[in-house]
This record gives sequence, structure tokens and C-alpha cells, in this order.
Amino acid sequence: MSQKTTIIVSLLVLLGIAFGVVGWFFPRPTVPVELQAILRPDSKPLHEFSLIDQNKNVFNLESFKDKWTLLFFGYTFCPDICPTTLTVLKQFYDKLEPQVLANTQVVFVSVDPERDTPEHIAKYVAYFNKDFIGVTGEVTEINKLALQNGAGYIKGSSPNDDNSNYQISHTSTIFLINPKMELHAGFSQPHIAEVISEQYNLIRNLY
Amino acid sequence: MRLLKFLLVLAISFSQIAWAESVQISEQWVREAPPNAKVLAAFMLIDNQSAESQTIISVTSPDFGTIEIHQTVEHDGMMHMKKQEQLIINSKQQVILKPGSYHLMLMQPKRQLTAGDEVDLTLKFASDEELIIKVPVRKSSASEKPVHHHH
Repeated sequence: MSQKTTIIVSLLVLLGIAFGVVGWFFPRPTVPVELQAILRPDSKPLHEFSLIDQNKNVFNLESFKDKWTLLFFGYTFCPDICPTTLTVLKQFYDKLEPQVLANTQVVFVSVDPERDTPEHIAKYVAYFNKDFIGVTGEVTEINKLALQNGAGYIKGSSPNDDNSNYQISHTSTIFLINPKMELHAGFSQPHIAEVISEQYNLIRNLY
Repeated sequence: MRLLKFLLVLAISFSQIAWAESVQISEQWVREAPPNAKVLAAFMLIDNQSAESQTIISVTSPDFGTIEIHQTVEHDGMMHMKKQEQLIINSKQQVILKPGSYHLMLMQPKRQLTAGDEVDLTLKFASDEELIIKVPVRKSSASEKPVHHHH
């Protein structure tokens, strides 16, 4: 082995060690920093539930299949958070690239089936975007879907005698379900359309 | 006697004008809601340049059955609506009502409101003063950026 070859081999070995050391101290994160608080460490498969959409069609686990779903729990008597979040989702949805839009759906699940009939939800969600899906049904089935996602809600007491004027506290996270019907990520407050859009596209690219 | 009465009336109206100038409402708007919404929200900036703190004790409008002062608060990952019995604006301070924070909850709308409409709100203060303001209805703006103001 010539002296020149020895030097080259030695340099390569040193370079290898150097890369190894750097890699040891600075491991390449598998999840980009901006997604660490949003992505679940592992996707969680969802289980069967049975609800209806605003057109009284069945909305169940299968409805998540082969689509990316942005899922939000709320109620139409909600004065502040629900309209704010649905406006953000509208801004997000309206700007999606056509090929992304093709398999993206926005689903608003009412936690107030007592007042939110399918007809009422239909008009409500259509105001934000005609493609949006509004879901309601039996309380037990709403709870099934909410619990699986880690969403909660608490019905407040009504100040009126007729019990019509109650408020509901609820989780405001927008949940992201992947095309394999698994809970994939959650966008928490504050919701900004541009930020959700960026993160959503990044999540899809990593998938 | 008549002159005294006149002076008194004059003094009262001056004090009212002075009061109205020291408590000012700006950037007020009602967020347009879906046509069948039973609840809307109003937002505004309340600036109290008077020497005393001012307290809003009630809000009424011919366009709504009931109006309440609310604050949206996050607790344990849940959003709650906290009813406020009153809204205090300290002397030389501002209070901002905006989405996700303080707002007026407008219930039982008596007519359908769309962007471009205007509603009258009467703010009643603990001092017995009243402010009647015209509030335009408009669509939600992009991303609901917080209101910037100068002190």
C-alpha cells in the first residue's frame, strides 16, 4: 500500500469517525420540530361508531376511509369558538391544492344533538363551506367517537326555566384522521389557517 | 329660578358630553353568522380615558332578546364560556373584546343579520350613564388577528 493510499484511507476513517460522533450527539430527528407537538407518537386505530350526517346518511368509521379528515367537536349555539374555528377551517379548505382537496374532508360533530338537528346543522355548516360535513346522532354514539379521540364536553346548566339556553364547554382541538382510519394528529389552539395548512401538507408528505 | 334650572340642565348635559368623550367605543363589529344561528357575538374596543374606573353592568338591543357579557377561557384543553356579571374598564385603560376572549353574546336574534347590516347596542354603566352605539355586521376577517392599538 502506497503512502498516498494510506493517507486517503486514514482521512476517510477519520471522516467516518467525525460523522459518527456528530450523528451521535446530534441525531437527526425523525419528526420535524414544528410537528412534534401535533403528531401523535403512533397513530391510533379508531373503532366503530354510528352517526348520521346533515343529509341523514350514515356516518361511521368507514366514512374516514381513504381520506384525510379534519374533525372538530362543537355545537351551533356556540357564540365564539365554533364560528371562529369553522372560519379558520373554511380559510384552510378554500386554499387547498386540487389534488389535496380531492381526499380532504372537514367534519363538524355536534355535541348538542338535543338542539342540533340534521336540518339545522345542514344550514349551519353550509354557510362556511358547502362541502363541510355536519354530524350528529345518539349521545352514546357521539360519546364513542369523542372518547376515542380524547375529546370531551360538559353541558352547562341553563339560566332559563325552559332549559333551552345552556352552554357547552368542549375540547377545541381539531383532530386529524388519516386514510387508514387512525387518529394521526391534533391541532390545538390558537388556530391559524396558514399554520394548519403548512403543517397539514408536511404531515401528508411524511405519510 | 328659571336661570338656575337652565344652568343645571346645561351643567348636566356638559357632564354627559364630557363623560361620553372620556369613554369611547371603537372597532365595534358583530360577526356575521350562519342564517339559522341562534347566537351571535359582538366585539369592540372600549377605551376609558376618564379619571375613574367604569363598569358596564348590562347591554341591550332591540335586535336581540338577551345579551350577556362573556369570556372564552381555556381550561384543561376545553373551551369554556364564562359569564361576566359586569365588565370593569380601569381608568386610562382599554378592554378589548375579540374572538377567543371577551365578547358580547347576542341571543335570540329578532331578524336575520348579514354583512352590511347595522345593530344598535345600549351599554349601561354602573354610573347610570348609557352609551348607544351603532355596530356594523361583517364577515370574519382572515385569521382574526388581534387588534393593535396605541397607548
